[in-house]
Amino acid sequence: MIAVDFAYRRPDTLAGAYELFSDLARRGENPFYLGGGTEIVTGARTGLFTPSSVIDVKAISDLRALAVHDGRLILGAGLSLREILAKDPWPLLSHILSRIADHSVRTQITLGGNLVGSIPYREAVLPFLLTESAVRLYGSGGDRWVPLAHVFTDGSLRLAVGELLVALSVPEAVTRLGGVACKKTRFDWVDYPLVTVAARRQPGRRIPALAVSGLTSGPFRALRVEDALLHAGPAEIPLRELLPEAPLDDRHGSSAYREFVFRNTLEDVLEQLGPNG
Amino acid sequence: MMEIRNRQEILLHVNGDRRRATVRGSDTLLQVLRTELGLTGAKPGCENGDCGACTVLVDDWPVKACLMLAGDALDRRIETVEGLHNTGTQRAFLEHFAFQCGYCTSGFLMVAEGLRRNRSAAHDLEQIEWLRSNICRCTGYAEILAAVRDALRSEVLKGAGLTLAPAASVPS
Repeated sequence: MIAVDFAYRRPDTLAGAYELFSDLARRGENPFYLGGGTEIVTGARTGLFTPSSVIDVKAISDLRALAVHDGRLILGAGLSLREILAKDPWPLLSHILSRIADHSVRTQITLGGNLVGSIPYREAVLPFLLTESAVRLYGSGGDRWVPLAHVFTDGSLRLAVGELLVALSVPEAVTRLGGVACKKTRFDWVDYPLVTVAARRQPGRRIPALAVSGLTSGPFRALRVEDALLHAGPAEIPLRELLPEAPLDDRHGSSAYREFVFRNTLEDVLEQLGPNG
Repeated sequence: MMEIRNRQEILLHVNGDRRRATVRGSDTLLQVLRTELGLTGAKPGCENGDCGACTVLVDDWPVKACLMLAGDALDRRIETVEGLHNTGTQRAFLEHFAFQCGYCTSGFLMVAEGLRRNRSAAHDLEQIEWLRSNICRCTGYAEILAAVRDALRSEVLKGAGLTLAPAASVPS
């Protein structure tokens, strides 16, 4: 049971959602968008979050897009992971999504919910970090597409207050390139990652593009690791120098263990992709 | 814009009926089913989305009712274990003794029923992937899996106009 009482509201449009959020915030309330993570419900139950209102944006039509437009695949932030898996528009993305949470919960978690939530793993972003991705945002800056790299920094999506993540897009050609994903957990199949690696072949380059979650406090594109792998194998590279920060050290795994698992995962990924990346 | 504030009466579509319930915006579907509608088949377990004891079908797909706000369930078709009436899935659970203490059973039944409706031809790994959503602390997984496989086989055979032999003669 959720002890805190809050209002539930479901606007029909992006403008309606943003205006409602802004209006409630101006009045000193504490509104939350309900975008299809599960954290607001579980967090409100434990007292972690105390929203005054939740604004359910999942059903707004702009967040439900799944289409190819001008050579780019567009995925609405309100699509559930199960819906994306059923359509399978991008096999590498499907591979990643199929290991997030469990089958039933993937009906409730959305692409946007996984990216914007406070749980730090945000594995759904990994394939998007491997290419020229863009995100559609709606808020004080208007309705705009911006490169993902401009707003996804230090492991999370930097949104202005009240700003909505509407959709993501990638070049459609990228969705046909080979790639692999590998998730390692401490014990159970359904669990948070010790390490998840997504890798995509890079035309003309021996080492694949790599994106990593679980190893540090947020997902990152491992450009420095990619460069180092041109000169040495996963067991030899000076990993600590190449990461944005020290590996996590928590109840799921020690820092040294995560580093060990990461090196082994890199071996697996490189082997799966073969000698040409 | 749809809105639920304070305590408000809403209509939910549950087990084929329109049911009135007085809810707060912060009430979960699980809480409303159990305390407002008297449907106690969906069980509170972890209430964190991990155990699956509260699983119901929403528009034919298994959903953990502890993770869904009641407002989110408006305009959706909700089915609880009370809405199943002598289905092949239930019969298979009985034939395979696919329960011990029984607390998780309604959740597993709803996952199995969702699988039967949506993916009756699911291969072995897919069946396991669906069942991984739920936990049986008595660890009766072998019997549950056998029951699910029988229920799916019956569905496939029914589609071909055939029937399944009694459970005892079915290889596991």
